[in-house]
Amino acid sequence: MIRFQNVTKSFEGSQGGLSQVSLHIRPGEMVFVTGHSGAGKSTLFKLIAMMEKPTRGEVFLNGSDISDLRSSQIPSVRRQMGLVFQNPHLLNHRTVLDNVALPLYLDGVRIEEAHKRANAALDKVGLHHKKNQMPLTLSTGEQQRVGIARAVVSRPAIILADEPTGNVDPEMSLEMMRVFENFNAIGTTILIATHDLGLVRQLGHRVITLDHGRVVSHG
Amino acid sequence: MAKQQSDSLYYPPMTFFFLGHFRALIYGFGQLWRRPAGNLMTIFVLAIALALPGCFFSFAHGIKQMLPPWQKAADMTVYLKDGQSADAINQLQKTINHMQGIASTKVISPSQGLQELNKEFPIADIVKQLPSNPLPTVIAISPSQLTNNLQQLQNLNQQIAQLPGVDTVQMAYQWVQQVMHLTKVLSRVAIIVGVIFALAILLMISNTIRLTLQKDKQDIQVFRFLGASRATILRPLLYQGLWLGIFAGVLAMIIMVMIGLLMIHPLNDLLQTFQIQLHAAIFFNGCTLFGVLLVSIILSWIGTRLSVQRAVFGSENDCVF
Repeated sequence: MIRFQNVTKSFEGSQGGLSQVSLHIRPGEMVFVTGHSGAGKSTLFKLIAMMEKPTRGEVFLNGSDISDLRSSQIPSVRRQMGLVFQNPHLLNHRTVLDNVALPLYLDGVRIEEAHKRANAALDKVGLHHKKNQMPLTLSTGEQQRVGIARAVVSRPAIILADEPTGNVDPEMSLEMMRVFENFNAIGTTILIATHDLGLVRQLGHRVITLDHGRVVSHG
Repeated sequence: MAKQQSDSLYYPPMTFFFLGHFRALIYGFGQLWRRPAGNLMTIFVLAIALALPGCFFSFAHGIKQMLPPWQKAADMTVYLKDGQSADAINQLQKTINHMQGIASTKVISPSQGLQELNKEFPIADIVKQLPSNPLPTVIAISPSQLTNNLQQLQNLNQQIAQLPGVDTVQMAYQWVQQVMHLTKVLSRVAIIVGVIFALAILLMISNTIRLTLQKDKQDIQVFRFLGASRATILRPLLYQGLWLGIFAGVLAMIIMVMIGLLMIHPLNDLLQTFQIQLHAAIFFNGCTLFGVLLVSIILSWIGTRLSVQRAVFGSENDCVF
């Protein structure tokens, strides 16, 4: 599904790059990426989401090289992914429901169907009762969950999540991970970056550990 | 995961296309509505910048239309000295006829002159009391269309004035030519002011949209991360620029009509000294007014395109993770 082949990404005068990374994430896998800050987790995600281009090497998605796409080709590939950010990145002047339905609007899904699916996604993250509120009236953890609902609503083939439980209490963290697991169970490939090693161990999925831009374990 | 491209769940492509435009149109208006004070000021400044050259153009164009036709204005009247013989007059007419730039000539004898004068002014009784007809013999000249500038006409005038037997030469409406030159100046001013202000409008629109972009940077990022196409992201901004153009254009039309209403009386007084009847239509000319609206929309569109082109897609490398 996702394959890195000798990927190096260097930033001038700053940390956080990758060095000679080769790895393979198979379709339907759920993988955690861990490592201290500056280890290269974010860079790994950016390369998959096509926000960065590798300095050397190739990144493959479903067998095709995405490391050098033209900017006009990126949107359609990106719509096949669900992205969850550390900062939830919501549209503050739209309702929670509209925020969640946004990827569907962009895809041309009819509004009734989009609302139906957005309601279902909000139900999964336990926020259905807040669908008509504005994002700024929600707590940080709730906003994060809205971000997750938005990432899963279009049933993408891949979900990339960067510290999705960063601002959430442990109980809710586990619940959110269960949401990801449910999607994984129906075949979605999931890649989650997290510091929460306890949670990672508890869930028992494959873990890729990065250190100074190198993969130190991917067992 | 394969998407279910079921017809009932997705909009048909054409419907989706138009729906996208409609949503962008509404969203673009919403963007203006969200910041009413700032946008209202921008609209006012744009409208003033449009209305000024619009007024110049309107006046110059309108006055030109009210003037008598050029041919009539260029006609000359040659007054002959008293006591010329019929032969001498015929000879003079021939000489003038052969000059370059003359279309036709006509001799008007003092008695014919008196008849024509009588048609316009009932003074026949007064003239009858005089010992003799005081009117001179006159040769009326129509210059050819080729003779179409004031310099050429003045040269012709001088040449004729130097002929033997000629007393004075008068151009029928010399002031018409002067007014025409004045309107040319006004037109030129309209073009210069128009070009300068068009540039100002472009910069102003660009700046307004650039500020919107800065304020909405996060929202635009969200759209990009969700895989919105370039067109989808640009559309609301372009429509926002379009709305600015429409509102500024309509306001400019209103300002132009108001200036027209303020100017109509003093201008009418001025023009009456030239015996020109003022038509209110020159200030309320639909073509000019809608032309201003159209120019406003086109400039706004270009200004918006200029500012979004670079700003939105400068780089893909915005930090999110």
